[in-house]
Amino acid sequence: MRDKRLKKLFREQESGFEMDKWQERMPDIATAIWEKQIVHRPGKADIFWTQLCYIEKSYWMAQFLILTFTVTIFAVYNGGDNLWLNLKTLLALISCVAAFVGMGGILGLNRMFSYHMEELMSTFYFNIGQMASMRLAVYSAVDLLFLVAVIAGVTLGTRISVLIAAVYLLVPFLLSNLCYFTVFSLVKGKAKGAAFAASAVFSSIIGAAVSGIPVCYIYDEMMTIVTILFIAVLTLLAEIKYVLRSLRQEAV
Amino acid sequence: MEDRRLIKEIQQGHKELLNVVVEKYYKDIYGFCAYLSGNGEDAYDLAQETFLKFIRYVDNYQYRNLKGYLLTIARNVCMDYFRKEKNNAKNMTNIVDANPEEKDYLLTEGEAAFEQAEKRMWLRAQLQTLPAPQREAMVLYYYGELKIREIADIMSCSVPTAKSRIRQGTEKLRKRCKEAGYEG
Repeated sequence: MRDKRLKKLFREQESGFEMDKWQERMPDIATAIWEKQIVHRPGKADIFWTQLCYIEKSYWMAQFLILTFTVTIFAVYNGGDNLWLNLKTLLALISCVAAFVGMGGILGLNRMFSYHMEELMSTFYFNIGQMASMRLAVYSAVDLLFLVAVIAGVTLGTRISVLIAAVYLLVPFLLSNLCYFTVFSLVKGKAKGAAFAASAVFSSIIGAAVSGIPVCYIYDEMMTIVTILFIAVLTLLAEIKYVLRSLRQEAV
Repeated sequence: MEDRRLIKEIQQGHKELLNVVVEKYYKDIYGFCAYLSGNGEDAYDLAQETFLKFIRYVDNYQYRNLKGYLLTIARNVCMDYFRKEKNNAKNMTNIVDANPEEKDYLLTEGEAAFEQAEKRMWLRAQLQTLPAPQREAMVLYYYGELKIREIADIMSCSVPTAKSRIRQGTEKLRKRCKEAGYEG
């Protein structure tokens, strides 16, 4: 609570102001305003929207294909009525799909820095780090939406809880992203594309294999799995931070 | 016009609206600079410098609290002033002697104006005897009428630290007001 007497005392300062003296300073301010050239600097929301508009069609196509494949699996599973596709196989397939979800994003990011795009952006004084961050944010938002939709689908279509469904999807998704970012920062040249594909296949195999082992995703071990996932998320964030810092220093 | 809209319009190219910002806040900034520097004459230059800096960097400004932002610039301008002039508490204790123009003004004005000015200069002098962080916090709190969280932001310190600086400053000033007979 402000001391009223002190407040009053402080406010009496205003009476010391002399307009004439201030008017003497005004021409300099008026000149500065006259000479000022306003440079438009887009806000974060503008940059996000621009990056969203410039995402390649191939990315949306890839995501659409993955989504179509997932919906088809659910349609075939048909609430457990299909003899050829039981719950275990469904989860293994979903785990495989999750490994490919992040691939479109990393390929898009890779494209931003290929074919001399990096030099071109530097020439035009674009803030590469900021653009890459925003592009990553867009990809991550799309990937997360996708994962949430699939988790909801798994939960509604089977008797599995949300947590278990999330684990089945997040393990291969995080593993694949860890591989993608490692490849992105370590592998150079044309080998990158092949390395991304190999990472996706490797992660999907691991995801499918782990989901096929009944003891792996049981409730008793859930705390351990969640801890591992948490560590994986932290590692991924550290990796992304490293990649973005490298981009700012134009090292990639 | 609301500050947020004002800034948006300026950043969209309506630079003439910078005049509106100056018109709206020049007295606040002047008062802040006068308290912080302890010198009513130099405060005009400091306030001018504050607005010139604001005009220079307005493109990059992301709106949060315009008055707070201007006070932050004013604070930095005052810090530079202290560095340049080495204007410490010792040569600020006798404000009347330091400002001959103000002295003339007092002599020509009536008794009421003299009393008010005397009170003002007494307060400036008292503020100069406080440690700089306490003085800044006090001016931002009582004159700028900012919230403690905003003061902590401007001074780059924690909220408890800002609170403690204000409390200590208030206690000291209250005591001195009592001694001087300025009890309201």
